[in-house]
Amino acid sequence: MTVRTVPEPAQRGVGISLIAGEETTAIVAQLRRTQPTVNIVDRGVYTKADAPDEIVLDLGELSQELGRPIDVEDVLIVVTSYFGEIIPQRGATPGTGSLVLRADAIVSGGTGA
Amino acid sequence: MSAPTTRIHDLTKDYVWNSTTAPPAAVFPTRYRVPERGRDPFKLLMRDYARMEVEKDNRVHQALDRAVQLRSSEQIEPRWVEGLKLLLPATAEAEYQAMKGAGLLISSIDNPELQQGYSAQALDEARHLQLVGALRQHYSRTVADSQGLQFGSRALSRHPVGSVARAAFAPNSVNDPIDAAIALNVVLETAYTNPLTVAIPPVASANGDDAYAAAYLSIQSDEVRHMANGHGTLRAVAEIPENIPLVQGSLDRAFWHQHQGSDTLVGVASEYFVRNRPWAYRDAWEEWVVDDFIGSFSRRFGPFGLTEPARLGDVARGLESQHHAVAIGLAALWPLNFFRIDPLDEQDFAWFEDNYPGWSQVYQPLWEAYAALSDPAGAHLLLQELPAVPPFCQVCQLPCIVPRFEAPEFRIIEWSGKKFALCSDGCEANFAWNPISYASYGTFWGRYHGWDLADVILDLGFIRPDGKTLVAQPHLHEDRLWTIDHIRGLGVTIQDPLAP
Amino acid sequence: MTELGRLRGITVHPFGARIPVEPGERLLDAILRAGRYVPFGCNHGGCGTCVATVVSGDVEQDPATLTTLDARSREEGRVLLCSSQLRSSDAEVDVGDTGIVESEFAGAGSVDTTTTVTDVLRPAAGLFLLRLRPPESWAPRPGQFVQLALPGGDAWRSYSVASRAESSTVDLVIRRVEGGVFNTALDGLRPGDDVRVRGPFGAFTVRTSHRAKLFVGGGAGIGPLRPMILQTLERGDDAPVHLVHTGRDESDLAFREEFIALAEKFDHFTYDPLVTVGVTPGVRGADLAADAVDQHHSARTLRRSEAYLCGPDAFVDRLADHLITNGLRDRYLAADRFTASSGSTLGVAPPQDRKSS
Repeated sequence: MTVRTVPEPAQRGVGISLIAGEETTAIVAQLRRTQPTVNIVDRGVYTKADAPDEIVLDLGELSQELGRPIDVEDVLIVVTSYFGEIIPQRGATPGTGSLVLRADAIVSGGTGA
Repeated sequence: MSAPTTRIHDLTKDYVWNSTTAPPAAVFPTRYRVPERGRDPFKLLMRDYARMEVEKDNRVHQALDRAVQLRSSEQIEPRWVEGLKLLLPATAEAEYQAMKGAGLLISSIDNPELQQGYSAQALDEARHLQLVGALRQHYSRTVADSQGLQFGSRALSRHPVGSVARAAFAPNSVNDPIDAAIALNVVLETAYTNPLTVAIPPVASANGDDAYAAAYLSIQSDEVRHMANGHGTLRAVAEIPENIPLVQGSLDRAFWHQHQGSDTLVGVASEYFVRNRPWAYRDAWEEWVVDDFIGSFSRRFGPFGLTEPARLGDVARGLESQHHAVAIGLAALWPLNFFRIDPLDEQDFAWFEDNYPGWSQVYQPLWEAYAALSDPAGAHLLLQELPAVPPFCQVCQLPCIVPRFEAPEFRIIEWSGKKFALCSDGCEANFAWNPISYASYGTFWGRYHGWDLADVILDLGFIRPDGKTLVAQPHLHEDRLWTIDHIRGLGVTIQDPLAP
Repeated sequence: MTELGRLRGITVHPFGARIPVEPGERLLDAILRAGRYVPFGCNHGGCGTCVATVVSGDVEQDPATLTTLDARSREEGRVLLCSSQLRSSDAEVDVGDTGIVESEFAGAGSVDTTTTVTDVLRPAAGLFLLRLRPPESWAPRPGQFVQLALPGGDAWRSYSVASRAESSTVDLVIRRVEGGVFNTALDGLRPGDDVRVRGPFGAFTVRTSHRAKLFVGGGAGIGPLRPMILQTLERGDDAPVHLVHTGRDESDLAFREEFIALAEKFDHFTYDPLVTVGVTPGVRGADLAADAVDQHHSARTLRRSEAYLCGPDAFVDRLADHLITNGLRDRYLAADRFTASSGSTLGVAPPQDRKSS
């Protein structure tokens, strides 16, 4: 009898590149803690993270870590590039919400983007 | 309590004049059916945009101030400074055409949400022009030999290889609006800005220049929203099946065109104007353009019936050799440049052979010959070794010595009674799609047919303040500088290879 | 609190997803029944793939799994989802350690349904070829796998899909192990029987690229490679495609005739069928495959290629090392592997992450 075990993915469907700095340090720490399959490469002036299907940045956690409210725009200051689909999810109050990257198109009625 | 951001974003869309009240001036009619759907995922408001961009600018200017205080420009590898003289105006050209392109899209796409996304983009492109200007000023004040930086975009329009940048970026603003969106927002900003603005910063950094990294990474952070704009537009257009063949054709043409321009310029700058090379351009291209861009594109747009760009195999083949051919071409034409080119040494030869097996056989002898002719006392140019100057491709403006110097693939065609050189199948296909727009562009050799090389240089204006020493030099020494008299003494007359 | 929140069940972190659990139901089944997915292997507490941490509540772990999950892990609140049950009305578990991301957990694009067996073939002594009617909304990407439950059992097994999405059947190539529980069940399977299938899952898929592609399949490992190769050849560019295929004897090489015909049709496709029968004793399929790679590829060509490996653990490890040593960039190595599982306890290889810059 044969059983598949964990495959090595061929494709990285999403990725994000972050300018070196305190926000990026916090984001990298969060990714390492919450999404261990995300592949992270430090290239000095920027850091690149990629994954097969999804990367989620939790703004609430980042706000706690950095000691000030972090909104989508605060993250975007250090996001130098990405691939996949980017889905900003603004929270109800400042310093909450998330920035999600997904490999596949989200197919839902009424959304053209 | 204030209204939620997304609600405010929705409300702002009610305060526009749409095409039923004031039809937009369609500069270029579109062949596509454009649905009114299409979303900007960022739903950006001007107040948030302004706050974010102010912070970005502060960070860049702090980095530039720090570089001045630490006198860090003194540490920059001199070769890299020469490369910046070409890269900065090429970037400015890209930003200028992108700003025009965003304006074209705002006035052509009847969708308030995408229009708002493109409005922010137009402002971004203006910001990028300013940042490139700030960088140019920074280097002008701090590097040892700033000669050439002062010409800026003026140099680009006169220099033979400068036209490559113009040719690569013009389709982003002079085009069917959807074709422009595909060329600009999809192919240039989603794929090809990455090598220039994300992959090169570590190269700049490895060659002592952190100012470039600070500014270009910050520029690219705006492209994140442009990628989303392009994706939103493409997604909307791709939902109408009749658009798919048009989108595919547009993508194929834009990808080829951008490859000819961006891959060549970035490959040359990142490998021939440095001493420390963190990567080979071919590998950087595989990561950013093939794995990230094409991989992600096929996964998201494959279901719509779109495939990877048609000439991907040819592009990959070109990546092995094209920028090497153009680099030696630039060196052979050095008197026409507005920057200096340092001869390569043994260490460079070893690196190139390691990363591009077979390089030494073709290029090393040429670079050795170039080095041997670097002293004006020798009174000879590599250019004089050529039986004739190569024509420039009417589409991409590269010299027709590509993809391989030893095996070029160009053809001379006749259209409307005139002869044109086309470097490749890809450029011939692009020419055929819209011959009028390409045929109207004058050729460099045509303009100077029959001129003495010295008079060409004087006409270009690439002369140092003493009125006789060339800005361009075939070495980075402070002595043994070539003057206009040396050039005139050679008696080289320009012969247009396409002259009847 | 939603209606669902009051039902007996678990909350799965880091996704915060609420999953109802039936009395006596194993947590893994509850998660899968809810249309969600977590990585799992042997399904009987033997491999440790489906490990989770209990954050709150009372979850009982089957004591027979002591060798897989040592006392210390248990003290730290680790359980194996495939062999544990909910004792309190509510519990929270964290599956972050499995490395799963939210879209995988959501089981996006997958189905969970009953379908019909159309054929059970035994092309060789060591192989089954099981054919199923494609379920509704069936859209696997070449290289993905499905999970299968046979009638009368609650055991799930994972098998790669050996057919294209548009094929009239879902083909699964299964290595036969004498005496295996699942094997016995397969032996009893007839056309017309119902089986439960869910999927497709997995990220072992072909990159869209200009690079030459090398596929190496050991035995049943040819399964996922077949649709990947068909997809690659249909793309229509002429980048070289090379398949190295090993088996005990010719009958063990599933789809051999098809690959021979493809090699005749496509100039850029090379097929290397290799058998271990009649070769010096002690020389294994992986050694033959490594030699075949050496004959066709130099360090220079390997540096410009990408490779897809599928087969037993030892086979994949041997070839992965060989390819990387000989010039393949680790970024362009992808592997899918299977581990023999006859019910005994097995060590779990951690998810290999060879990806780097």
